[in-house]
Amino acid sequence: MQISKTTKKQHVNISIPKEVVVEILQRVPCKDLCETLKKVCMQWCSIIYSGNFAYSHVECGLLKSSSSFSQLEAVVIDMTNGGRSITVSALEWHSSFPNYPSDENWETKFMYRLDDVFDHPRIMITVNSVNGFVCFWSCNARLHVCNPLTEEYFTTPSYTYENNTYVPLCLAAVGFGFCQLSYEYKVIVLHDYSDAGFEYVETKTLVFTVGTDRSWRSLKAIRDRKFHSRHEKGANVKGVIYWYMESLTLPLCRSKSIKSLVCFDVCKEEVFTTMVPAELDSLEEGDRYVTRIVEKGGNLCLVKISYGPICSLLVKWFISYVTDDILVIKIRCESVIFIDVPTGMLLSVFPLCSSVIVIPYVPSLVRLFHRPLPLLNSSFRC
Amino acid sequence: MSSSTKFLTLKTCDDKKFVLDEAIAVRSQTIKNMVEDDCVSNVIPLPNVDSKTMTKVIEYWKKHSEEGISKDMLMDFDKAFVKVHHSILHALILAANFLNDKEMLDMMCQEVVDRIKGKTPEEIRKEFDIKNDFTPEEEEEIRKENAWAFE
Repeated sequence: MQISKTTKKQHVNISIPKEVVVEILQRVPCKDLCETLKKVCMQWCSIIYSGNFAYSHVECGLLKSSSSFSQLEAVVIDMTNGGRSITVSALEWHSSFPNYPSDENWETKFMYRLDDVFDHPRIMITVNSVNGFVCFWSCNARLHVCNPLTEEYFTTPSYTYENNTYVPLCLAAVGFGFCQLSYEYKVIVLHDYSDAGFEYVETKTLVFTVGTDRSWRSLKAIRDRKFHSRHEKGANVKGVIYWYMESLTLPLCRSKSIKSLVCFDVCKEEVFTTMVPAELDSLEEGDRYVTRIVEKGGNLCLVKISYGPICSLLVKWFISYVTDDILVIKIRCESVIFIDVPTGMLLSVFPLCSSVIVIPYVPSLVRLFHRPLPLLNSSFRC
Repeated sequence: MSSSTKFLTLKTCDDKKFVLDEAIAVRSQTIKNMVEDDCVSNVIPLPNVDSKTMTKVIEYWKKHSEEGISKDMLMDFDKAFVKVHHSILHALILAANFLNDKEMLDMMCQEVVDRIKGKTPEEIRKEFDIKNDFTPEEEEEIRKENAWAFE
């Protein structure tokens, strides 16, 4: 087949229509967009910064999650200044993919620092990541939301809690979700309250809309049920946050532990509980298993991991996250490991110390103030 | 091909005529709409496409309409098809967009993305003939944002 090749440069008179430029830019990873492509010309720059583009780029990324390159990155949150401040930095880890063994040098890039965050015992908990925003909880009852790529960050005020209780102990579940109708981000906390005799138990649900609310709002409390799950992180599926929680009904002494799904509809702000499907419930239980609920490809999954012979040295596994076919597991306080789900291959190990948390996320250009017009279906296709 | 094959005549902006099987030409959503709306007289004018580009487009359409062609063969064809100078790629993108052939446009866009990869803004402008319309102040402003991201 003969292909005509012209080496002579021809001047192009008609410029490429904007919608085609958008089509092209949507296929480029975020990092290239904001490192290089926004500097090309005014038109490209304004497209890249627009909310419409940011959200349709997220959609594109979801559809193309099977692509050859992974867009998964992680954020490292580190306590500094004797525990008074936290430092947020971006972790670049997939550059060495898929090399094994995992003795690469980790590269972190400083993003920002929050001072005087902690006035209590210093604990941070990974919450979730949605549309490129990562969310974590700190033990002064605040939630932190940041987009590592745009460097936008937000810290909520403290939610109210009984002063005499140890805050992390009362935190049953925490979640971070996105309302697709209003393009708002919300954080929700399930906070336990019970009197000394356990005659009265109540789980308070508090919600805060990032960037809009000035204080936390109380929703209907969950009564007569004592959750003994702690620090549950929800899985977001189609605008609903799900937590897999164990609870006891009153009176506690005669009660059997029930596993249920606690759900929060992010748009309607309704909390409800449903039973866990029986086939999942009957799976083998015990110390050897850790169950976590995760979102994968728009579906809700329960993940169970047992200690295999290889991991017998490891004390305990915690699943933090599943995205892009990569499973991210925290192993007690020692390290975070990244496992490729289809092959079961260990991709990387990131060493931790007690004052560090790692939150994986898929980068996006979305900013909190973005309120795109309703997206046309055509822009989802790519 | 069945005996009832209908042919369409397409006329490009430089007054060249292409006679094409309707079954192939309707890969273009634009042409398909015209056919369905019955507003096709005998010649379909394509004011935005020149004959050189149309030849390439028809070459692509014919290949992709061939019966019994294997996926691998099509992939090889596509790979070779997009290896053209930027000006031709540019013209093909405009044509695919005007003719509303999503499949072809997708392929072209992906090719542009592949060409962008790893290039500096200056190299991209040169390759795609884009004018740098930033003032030096604006350029500095844009450079400063996300400073951490490009060390």
